[in-house]
Parts: sequence; structure tokens; C-alpha cells
Amino acid sequence: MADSPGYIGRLRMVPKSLWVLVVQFAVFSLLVPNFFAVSNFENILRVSSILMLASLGQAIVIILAGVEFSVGSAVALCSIVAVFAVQSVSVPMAFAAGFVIVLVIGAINGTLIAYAKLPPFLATLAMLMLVHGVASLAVGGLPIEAPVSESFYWMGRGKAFGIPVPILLAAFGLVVHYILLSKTTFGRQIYLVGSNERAARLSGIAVNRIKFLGYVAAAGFVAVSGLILTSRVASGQPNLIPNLPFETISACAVGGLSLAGGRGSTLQVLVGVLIIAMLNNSIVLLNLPTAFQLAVLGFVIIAAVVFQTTPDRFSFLSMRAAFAQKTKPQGDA
Amino acid sequence: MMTNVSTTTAQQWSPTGILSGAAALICLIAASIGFSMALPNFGSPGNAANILLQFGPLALLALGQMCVILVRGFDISVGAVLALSSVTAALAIEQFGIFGLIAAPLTGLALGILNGILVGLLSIPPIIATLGMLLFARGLALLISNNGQVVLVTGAPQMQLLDFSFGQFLSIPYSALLTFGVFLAVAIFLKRMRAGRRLFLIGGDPEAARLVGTPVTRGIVLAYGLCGALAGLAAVLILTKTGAGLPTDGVGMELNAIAAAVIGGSLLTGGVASPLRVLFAALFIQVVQSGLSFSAVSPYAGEVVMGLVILIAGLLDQITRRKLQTITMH
Repeated sequence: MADSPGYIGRLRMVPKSLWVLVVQFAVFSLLVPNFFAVSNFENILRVSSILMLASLGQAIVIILAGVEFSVGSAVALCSIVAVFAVQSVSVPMAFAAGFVIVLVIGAINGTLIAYAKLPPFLATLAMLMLVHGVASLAVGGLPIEAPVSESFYWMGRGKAFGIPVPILLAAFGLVVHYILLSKTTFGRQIYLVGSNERAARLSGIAVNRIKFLGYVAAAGFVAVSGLILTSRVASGQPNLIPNLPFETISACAVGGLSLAGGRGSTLQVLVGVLIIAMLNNSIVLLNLPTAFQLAVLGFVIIAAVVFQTTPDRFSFLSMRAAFAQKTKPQGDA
Repeated sequence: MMTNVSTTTAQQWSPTGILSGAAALICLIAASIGFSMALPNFGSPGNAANILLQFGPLALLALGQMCVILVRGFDISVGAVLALSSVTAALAIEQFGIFGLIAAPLTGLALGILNGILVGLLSIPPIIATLGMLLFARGLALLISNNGQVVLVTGAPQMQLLDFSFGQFLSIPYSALLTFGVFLAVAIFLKRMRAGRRLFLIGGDPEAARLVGTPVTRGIVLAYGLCGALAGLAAVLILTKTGAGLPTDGVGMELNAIAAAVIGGSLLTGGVASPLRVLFAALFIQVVQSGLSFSAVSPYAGEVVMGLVILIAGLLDQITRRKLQTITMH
């Protein structure tokens, strides 16, 4: 049964978390008032686009067996830089400045981790504090407002082809992420470095450079999410979204990415983000206090990881088998 | 066992080992002298007592962090656990009088043991387990405190709490004495008692520990339980200082605690812990923060400095580890 192809075999390839999403969707549709409505689905997707793009970045880092805590601070600094810049240059240039500052933070993280060999969580925690400190210093701890302009709002609130721009950007991000990880040499090298750094080095991969570039690529996704948020709130805030690192790590863990690195797919990130987004949406629809979101999220993360790491309880859906098949050519033990 | 012994001796005898061994103390002395020279009133006995009054919670969190780093873990939930413990204790004091204070360490202990079970028994990565606990504890603290409102302790217990806070023995605040006492107790436990010594073995080489029959899972649960209980004790100090349960307090404290543990010489690969050095490191961080708030610099500069200090401490840690590798290889 373990290696039988066909229907069961194809089911194995589906991430375990997708079943959770399907069940969750069905239950919420039946039990949560106003959940099952096109306008609500659009709302969920629009709100989750920020988490989606940031989680796509987080996923690259996690597949590299790292973790990134400084995303929240990076997004905050991005908003401040963009709002400062828009006072003297055009909106696209201001957004470019915000984009670049996040890339710079990613490059610093990458240097600290790949070349100075700092443990990822320590380096990014330090960067969390450092960047938050810089962002707060820049504005004296208070939010700054962006001048009112249609072009500044477009990215976060606008529509193109009748679809909200954030949703389009998130969809675009998913496609880029999928191609990057699954169809390019760089992407496959990320998996190898994440699953077995020593083997990667011995097979001639420039491990340090892959790690460095991985953190920069991750920052690229985070930067887009930061710009969407900046455009939506139309202000620069040092405390813009402090829970973002936790939410992105949660989304990846719930989706089924192994925190040990070397495993995970774009589809899993999508599923993880949607599970969390639907959860948060339902808590709002049910009029529960927002503190509930935190408590439930904490519970869900742990439950999801326990569920997914328990081997063979739902044998025919076992994610491990799916991964064993996927990673066989690389000789991963 | 081998790794453990060689680690300790290499730490003591290599030049970088000595340097990083005294790093926390050197930092503390340098920062104290530097700020005293730069700022007129910084070196006064009053400010010294003030620093001693304030460093307790951070020091206790750092001590707990040291225990879990010792067994190759870490705990990012301590800030949230501290907040929840302070709220439960404040609520308990309203019900049962001053003895309700015991609810704080008990809450911390329970959540810590839960963390330990998740990490040790269910093999969930520490980052996920304690992240889940962080969100859960923070959410619960906000929920039971009427959506994040301060839970004031009123009446006689409030006076008793504040009396403790203002109390001094030989001009050392009670809270500092309590902190020193807890450090001494943990040091004796780790260095002199069997269950404590086992933690070094587990952190040094879990596989070897398992092979010689050490209860590894129990050790990990113990370390996390201790960490949680210490976070609860830190909540007691917060309660005595403010006379209130603070559901939104402790955000970012876990970062400072991890920083203090690392500056205090804990290697993130486990197997090394020194309560005395962590004490110096916690004092150092408090001196820096006090100094920055004394000078007219923006408080946010403190975060930048702390970030840099963590990075430097991490680099020192890295250099020490590389030296250790070369020493143990020969």
C-alpha cells in the first residue's frame, strides 16, 4: 500500500493541511453567519494578502532552516521611509525607496547568518530591536501621515480589472514564489542547503551565497507586503504590525513547513495563510474580542504541528510519504 | 559526558574562553564607569539602589532563559507568561488576600511545564511550542483582564506589596535580595544537585545522555518548568513594584532575557550555563537602559544599542565556539 500509485498515491501528494482547510471552510460556512458570501471571500483574500506575501518570504527562510523575526520591524521601517520619501519624490520612487530599505535589511540579515554564522533567530531578533529602534528614532515614536493622493492609495486600496490590487499582487507573488522554488536551480539549491548543509557544500554548492541570496529574496516578498500595508494605512508607523513575524511563522507551521528546514511548498504556505485568515475573519464575524485571535492562534499552531508531525495516524494522507517521493532524487535521508 | 567536561575546561583555559567568561563583568564595569563619568548623578548611591530595584524581573527571566538554553532550547513566551502570571496573581489577591501572590509562580510553572511537555515529549521545535504559548498566554491575559485593562490590587494587600517594594536591608532593596537569593538557589541546584547536573549532560550531548540512562525528557520538562516558574517570580516583583497586574507588560522582555543569557556566556548549542555571569549580564543591560534614560537621548536609542549588543554577544559566542571546536579536535 505504501508505494501503490494511482488515486491513493495522488492523495498522498496533497498537503495534510489542505484537508484541514477544506474541513475548516465547510464548518465555518455552516456555523459562522455571513461567512459564506463572495464579498466576505474577497475581504479575506484582500486582508490576507499582506500576510501572504510576508509568509512567502518567511517560507524561503524556513526552508533554508532559518527563521526571520525582523519582518515586522522591516515593514514598519519600510512604511516610514516611503512616507518620508513621498514628501520630496514621486510615489513610485518613494515606494522604490521603501522596497530597497527592506532589501538592505534582508542583506544585513543574510550577511550576519550566512557569513558571520550567527544563529538565525538571534541575528533576526537583534535586527528586530535594532530596526524598530531606528524606525522609532526616525519619527520620534509617533506615526507620520502620508499626503493624500490617489496614487499612494492605489496599491493597498485600488482595483485593477475589477479585482483589488493586493489580491493581484499576492497571486503574482505566489506564482513567482512557485517558479523560484520549484523551477529554478537557485530554488532547488535552497532546498538542498536547508535539508543538509554539509551535503550541499560537499556537492559544490556555494552554501553561503545561497543563504545570503535566500534572505534577500525573502526580503523582496516582505517588501511588497510592506508597501501594500503602507499604502493601505497611508502612514509611517514604528509599531505598524509587531505580530507579523509570529503570524508568518505560524502560517508556515500551520501550512506544514518543517521548521527543521529543507521541506515545504508554495501551496502549503497558501493553505497556512488561508487557514489563519479564515480563523481571524470568523473571530471578527462572531464579534469575539480580538484577544481571542491570539489565544486561538497559539492553540492552533501547536495543534497543527502536533497533527502534522504525528506519523501515519492518517496513513494514506501522510505528508511524509509525499515528501519522501518528492525529495528522493536528492538523496535526502 | 566527554563533550561536557572538555567544554568546561576549554572555556576556562583558552584565551577567548577567559575573555568571553569575563565578558559580562567587563561590560558591566565598563558601562558603569562610562556612564558615571559622562552623567553627573549616575554614580550616586540612590541611582545604584534604583538600578538594583529595577533589574530583578529581567534578571529572573534571563536566569530562566539560561536554563532552557542549557538544554538546547529557548523560550520566547516568557514575556507573555510574565504578563499572564501578574494578572492571575492580581485576581487571586483580590479573592484570597496577599497569599494569592503564590498564583504567579504557580501559573508560570504550569505554563512552563506545558512548554516542556510540548518540546520534550512531543518533539515540537522550541520556536513553535513557545511561540504558540506566547500567543496563547498573551491572549488569555488580555481576555481575563477585561481586554487588556490593568488589574489593580486594592486595600490592605496593596499596602503590603508596596511595603515590600520600598523595604531595604543594608540599603539593598528586598526585591534585589530576593533576586540574589533565587540566583544562589538555582546555582546550587545546577552545580551541586543531581537533577541539575544532568541538565548539563543533556545539553552537552542528548544522545550520550540517553545512552547512559539519563531521563532526557524529564530534564527538558524540568528546565522549561523552571523557566516558567522564574517568569512567574518576575511577575511577583512587577506586582510589588506597581501594585497591579499588567496584561500588556513584558512585550519584548523575552528578547532582553535571551540577550542577557547570551551575554552571560550561555552557548546556544547548549551544555553551558553560569548563573553568576547571567547576573552580571542582566545588571549590565539594566545599567545601559538606566544610563540611556538618564542622558537626554531618545529612549528608542536604547533599542538600537541593545540590538547591537546582542549582535556583538552573538559574534563573541560564535568565535568562542569555533575556538572550542579546534581545541576539542586536537
